[in-house]
Amino acid sequence: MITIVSAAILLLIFVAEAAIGQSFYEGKTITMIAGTEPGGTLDMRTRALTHFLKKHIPGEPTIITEYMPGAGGRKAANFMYRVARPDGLTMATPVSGFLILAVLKEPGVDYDIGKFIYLGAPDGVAHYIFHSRKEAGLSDLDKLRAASGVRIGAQAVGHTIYVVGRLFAYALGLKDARFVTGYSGVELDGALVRGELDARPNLAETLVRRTPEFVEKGLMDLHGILEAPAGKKHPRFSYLPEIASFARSERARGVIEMFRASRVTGGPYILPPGTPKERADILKEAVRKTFNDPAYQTEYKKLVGDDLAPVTADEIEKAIGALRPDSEIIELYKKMVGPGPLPSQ
Amino acid sequence: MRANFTLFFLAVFLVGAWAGWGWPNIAKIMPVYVAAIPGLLLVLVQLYREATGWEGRRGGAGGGIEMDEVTDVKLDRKTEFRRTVTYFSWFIGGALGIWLLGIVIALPLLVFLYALIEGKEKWHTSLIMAACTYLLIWGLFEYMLESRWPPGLLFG
Amino acid sequence: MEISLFDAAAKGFLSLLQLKVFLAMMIGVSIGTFTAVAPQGLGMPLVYAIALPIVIKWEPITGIALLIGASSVSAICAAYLPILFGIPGGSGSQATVLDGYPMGKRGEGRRALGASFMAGGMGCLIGTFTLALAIPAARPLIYLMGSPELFVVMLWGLSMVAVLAGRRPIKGLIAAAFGLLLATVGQQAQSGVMRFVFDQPYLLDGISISIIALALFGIPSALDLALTKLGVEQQPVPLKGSLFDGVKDTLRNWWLVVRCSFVGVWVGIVPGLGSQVVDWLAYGHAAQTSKSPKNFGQGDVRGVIAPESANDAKDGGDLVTTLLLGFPQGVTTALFIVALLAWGYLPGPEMVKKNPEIIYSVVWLQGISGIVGTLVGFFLAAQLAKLAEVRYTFMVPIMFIFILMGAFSVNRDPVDLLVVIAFGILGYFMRRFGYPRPAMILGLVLGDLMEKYLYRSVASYGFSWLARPAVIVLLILAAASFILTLRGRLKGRQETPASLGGAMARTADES
Repeated sequence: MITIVSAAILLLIFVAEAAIGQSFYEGKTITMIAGTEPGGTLDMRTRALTHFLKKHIPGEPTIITEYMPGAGGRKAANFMYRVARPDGLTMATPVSGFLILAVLKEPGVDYDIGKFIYLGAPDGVAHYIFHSRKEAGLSDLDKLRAASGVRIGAQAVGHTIYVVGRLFAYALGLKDARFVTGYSGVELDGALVRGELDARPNLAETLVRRTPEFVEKGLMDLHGILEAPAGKKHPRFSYLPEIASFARSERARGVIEMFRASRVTGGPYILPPGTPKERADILKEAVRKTFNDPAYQTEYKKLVGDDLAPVTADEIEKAIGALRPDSEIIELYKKMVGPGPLPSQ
Repeated sequence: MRANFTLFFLAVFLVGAWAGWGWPNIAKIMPVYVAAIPGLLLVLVQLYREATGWEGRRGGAGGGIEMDEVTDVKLDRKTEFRRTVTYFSWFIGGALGIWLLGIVIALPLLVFLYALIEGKEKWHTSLIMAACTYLLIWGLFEYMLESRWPPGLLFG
Repeated sequence: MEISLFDAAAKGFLSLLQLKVFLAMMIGVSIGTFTAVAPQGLGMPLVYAIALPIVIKWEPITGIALLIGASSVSAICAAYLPILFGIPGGSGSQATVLDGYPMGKRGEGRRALGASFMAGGMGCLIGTFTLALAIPAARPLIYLMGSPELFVVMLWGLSMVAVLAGRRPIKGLIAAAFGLLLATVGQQAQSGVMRFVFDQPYLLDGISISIIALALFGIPSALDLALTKLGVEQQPVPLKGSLFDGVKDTLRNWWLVVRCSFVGVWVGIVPGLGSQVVDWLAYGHAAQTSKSPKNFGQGDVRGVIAPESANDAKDGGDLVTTLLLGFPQGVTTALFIVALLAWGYLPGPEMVKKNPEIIYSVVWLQGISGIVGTLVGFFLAAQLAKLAEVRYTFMVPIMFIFILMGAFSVNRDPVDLLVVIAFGILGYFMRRFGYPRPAMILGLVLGDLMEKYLYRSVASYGFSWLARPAVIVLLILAAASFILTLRGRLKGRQETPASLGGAMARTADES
């Protein structure tokens, strides 16, 4: 008898909570802060998400986008930490770099990544391939290591591609590698073909989609792959040696892991610290349902070219918890992302 | 007044050279060696020319084209000064309004007040103009495109 | 199965002969016209970002028709703002202010608009034609233009300052140097050094050129109206000239249109030359090569024809790299590539081989929507030119809206407003004291690019890049262009001040 009454009470509470949740978002408007300019790929992806997300939030609130570009995601993140009201009506998708900027204690960071509430991310998997142009004659790892002054291209100091390039050069022990920045992603490919650059890292999917001839016609020598998360093999490039296999010291492995940890969190959706748990849970559930929605998965694939690789809120929180390496690794990582000469292993 | 404005460029180039002096060469070449220092030299030449009335004498007859429009406004100085200050006051007031009240409220308000007070338009004309402005800012962007303008400081 | 290019061209055209494709194109044209007239903030990148998730569900040809219709018309019709309001249009329509606005003020707005649409339409067709011709062989051109060659092109661009400085060489160079200095604000990509950031996060990404141009030109233009209390105290200048006069002007200057269109196509093709450069390069080229450059800057119709034809031809160039090489040139073409990929096409050599008929469909659509856009422009121009007669109490608030909303929409940051005010005041004083604003804009636009290419050249090649054949050829061209300009100026020294026109009345006082 007591069991039945308890179950009934629990059921009532559950229904009431759901009803309360339902009535909260009904007729409301959620603001999605995008850490990007209006127009552009990130804006488009955000709109695609919000279109599906609203259907999965009980009450189907309106979701509108507000733009807060600038400072590599710091502006949007600062806003969410200091200004946004924690009422469950404001969420954000800052550019993914905002996490690592906090770990490195870069200037302009006024937020604590441990205090945000994470809802999930769509892109927790990435594979970076380090390749060089065939004419450079660096057809195997020995030749690569023996060469001096290899010109490695990237967009800008601190950019993800730059960091991956530096990690490969460091792990491989390349002699006097020269990092040439100031290219857009597309210009990098042109520069490689022209012979202005010798090597670059690139996302495996971009490599295959935008420049298939690099792989299919053998225009490039592929040297290694960085998997994020570790152990997640790329279906096509599983034969390539993983960057960690080049590392000859704990420090080297440490910075590689630090990069991996920063990458697997993807570009997360966040809520301000202090958002009431019930509302945060509703939104987490809605994000989870959106990621599992086949229609969204198809649209994502069409717009981004990659399969959706969702990361749950818990996985993000775990990764961020692990993103507190010791100060020696942080100092070394800072050298990786900075412009100075590479240290030796 | 004209020399004062040249001094503005002098100050800018001085600050540029001074701020950039300590940077590594790769960061320094363009701002300091290509822009600030040559700019400084050019400003000194220009100040000399203004001080000695060089350009007045030559009459600007260096050939070439008048490449930027020169205003052909013909007003007495006092009226021109007054109207210029009034204009900038409205503009700055509008900007301040956007900061404090948000663009959705501030721009229609600016349009309404400008038309009414400065332009001495009738009430209903000013109101219609403000309404059209609101329709553009809120109706197009926020309602149709679902792209929210930031609220003003007072409503943030 | 590979088909001949002729068959592909025919197939590409035939696939357009469907009502829904035509309707989609017209919807695109309407959207493009609207964004051209609306304040900045509603630009092509935003339109594409909104439209893409919808059009990728349509059939490819229908979706392409909408996207191409919108972007090609938006470029053609972008001349309204500069000519009627003196506010720079979006990228690629800034230089049009220099001569378009004086024409508008003189009552020749319709003539200016007619010239700009005709030039734009012709430029678009030339660009499209080039795209069609380029399909068989475009790759070599792209790979020829490396960082060293691009750096020399920037040098050539900088020689335009000599032109744009006009009769005030020292002041022009000061303005250009100031622009170069401003261009370096922000975190340098090559070194990570924060230059002139002064611990302000807003400045980390530099100051937006759109905001600067909008404020520098737009605010003084609106001030003119407020000063003269046009329409109340002053009688509006009677409208003279017609759209057709503008068309005739363009046809008379057909060779200029062709040359500037090629400048535009080339800027579109070469990766790394932004759309912000194209109108200035074309304008400078027109002024440099003109036998009678006296009137440039005061309402010479050639000063409208040159940038507009280049700007619209550039779309053809953009599509060459986008479709034939898979290289996007900006946000809009990047999104176009996303759409093509979503439809299952791979832009680049693969697409040329496997789906040439789609490429030709794009080419045909570009040409057709260019013609339609020109006609739409003519139709609306007749009505919009009447704005010149509207009293300032309407015009000034409208311009306030365009300037404040346009500036605020870039970052949606209150500091944008501060920047607008600061550069508005600067623009006022620069105009008053004879510091040419175009020279500053050129320095601003080129500074970033020059530094980037110089660094890349030296980092990749040391100093051996100076010996590359293409570099030597381009250096000679740049030097020749600079000398030509100087010679033109030296010849002009023969003229007396009296022969230089009424607008000089104030300058004697100012300089």
